[in-house]
Amino acid sequence: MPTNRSYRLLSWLTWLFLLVAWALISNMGWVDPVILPSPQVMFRTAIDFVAAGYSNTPAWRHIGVSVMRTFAGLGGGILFGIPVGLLIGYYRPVNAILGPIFSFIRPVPPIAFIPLVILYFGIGEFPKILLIGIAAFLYIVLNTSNGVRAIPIDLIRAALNLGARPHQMIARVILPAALPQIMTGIKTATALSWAIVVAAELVAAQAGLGYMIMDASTFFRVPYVYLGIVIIGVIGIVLEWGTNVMEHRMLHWRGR
Amino acid sequence: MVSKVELRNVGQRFPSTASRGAGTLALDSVNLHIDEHEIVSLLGPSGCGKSTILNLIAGFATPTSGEVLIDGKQVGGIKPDRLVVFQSPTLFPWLTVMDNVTFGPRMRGEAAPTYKPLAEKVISDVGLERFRNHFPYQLSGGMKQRAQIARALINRPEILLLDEPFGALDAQTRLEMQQLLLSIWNQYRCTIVFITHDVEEALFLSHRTYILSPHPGRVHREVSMPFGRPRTLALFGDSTFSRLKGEILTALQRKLPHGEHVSELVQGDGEEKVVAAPPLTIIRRA
Ligand SMILES: Nc1ncnc2c1ncn2[C@@H]1O[C@H](COP(=O)(O)OP(=O)(O)O)[C@@H](O)[C@H]1O
Ligand SMILES: [Mg+2]
Repeated sequence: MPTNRSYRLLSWLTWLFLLVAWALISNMGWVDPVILPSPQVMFRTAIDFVAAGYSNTPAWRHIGVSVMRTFAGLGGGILFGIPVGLLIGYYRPVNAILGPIFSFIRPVPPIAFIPLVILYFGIGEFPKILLIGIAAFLYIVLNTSNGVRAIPIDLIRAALNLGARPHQMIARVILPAALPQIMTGIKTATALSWAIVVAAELVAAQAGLGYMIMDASTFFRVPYVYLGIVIIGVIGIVLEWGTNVMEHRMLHWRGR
Repeated sequence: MVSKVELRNVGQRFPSTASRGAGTLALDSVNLHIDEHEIVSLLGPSGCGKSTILNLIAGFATPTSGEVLIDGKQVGGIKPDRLVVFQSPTLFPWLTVMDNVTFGPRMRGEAAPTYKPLAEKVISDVGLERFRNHFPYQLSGGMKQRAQIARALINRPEILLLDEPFGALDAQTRLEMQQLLLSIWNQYRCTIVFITHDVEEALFLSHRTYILSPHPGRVHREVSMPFGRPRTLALFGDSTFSRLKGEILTALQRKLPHGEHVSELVQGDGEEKVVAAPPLTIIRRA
């Protein structure tokens, strides 16, 4: 009988195999080392990056700038998205008024707005944060309003019956009852925001991980392209893990 | 004396979901009344309009025709003096039993020193002392309904509206809950409207039962339960109990057309007489 442990071992073996294959391919010269640097080169690049940064900008700034843009946009999207989603979900007239706008904008991939926000606001911090904010906002509005509409009518009636007034209904009943789906929205929005910040930095930025891989590929500093991708991936995993932890803490009562 | 709850010629039509339809006539000229401190069951198969009646009394909906009166006055919206206990779990899953129970007073801005002792009392009245800090997902089905009852009782409701509250419970638990409800009524004496499709439950709990028939929902018969109180399990062995049960089951099965004479259903031994006054046929202890 295979155990959990033996499956985990299998997963580690995959990594080991990939590493060995990579070392072999790159060191035997089967592939042009400019396109595929060897593990040793990558290791040295990583050390250099931590020590000296990239193009006169320290490593922590490249990483920090991308993360801060993401959090700023995401935070704004959450802050505005939850109330708007609650109102759209709870009050049918609000849904009738705002619904059409959202159903038109939502299918547009957020990165399609990049040229427009650059045109309007230039290439500073604001347009990037705005772009992320809009994308997060749309997702959170969608999930929040769907979450509100999925609340059992009896739960709402029970609260009204016990004397909850409209503002209490929103804050003390509708919001917590929709929270599971709001969290789903936040998780999606976080992953999406991280994708968008990289895309935005590819186009117009002087720092950030997206800027780094774009700039490095322009000047054939291929190890930095790979390094950037790995860091982006790792931070993506950390963000996902963080939102999962947050979800379990806040929603211990969910689905039981 | 004015009834605590009265429905006068109440009709309720729901618009059809299809674009042009006549809709569903859920209730058709329903007349019934519930006196103060009385336990009255509404008994009938599913879809006969029981919940619709309850929603009207609770103020969740307004009838398309007729009048719903509380203390002789038209129902004025949703109020905590008429509280519903739902079949589905409507406890707030993010709150503990204690916070669920105190929800009403907290929403109305009452002070903690006022409602805390009351909360302890109602929680112990329903037997949940040891579970006051549990979350709903940690409770069994019966305990959830106990908590719902406590959440209602803390508001000192004049009318308790229960919509098949024990329908999803196993037989043993259901019996315990029925006994609990009787002891609650003994203590609080609220007027109780109890919805059920279980004949024995209606017989065991209520003073009177309205039997409803479906399509459209109408009052088919009104039956008085000629049993004293407090009621004990011995009642289930009582011969009158069994006979009434048989009659009601027959009435439910035959789905007699509205107003048809039902005296042949009663194999009276002189103790009961049929007051043949269609549409209501009342069986009473003489
Ligand atoms: N909101 C509604 N819209 C349309 N039809 C409804 C609605 N509520 C109830 N009905 C219909 O009215 C009838 C009575 O429903 P209900 O009162 O829930 O019955 P019961 O509680 O006795 O099972 C059913 O035919 C049901 O389909
Ligand atoms: Mg029902």
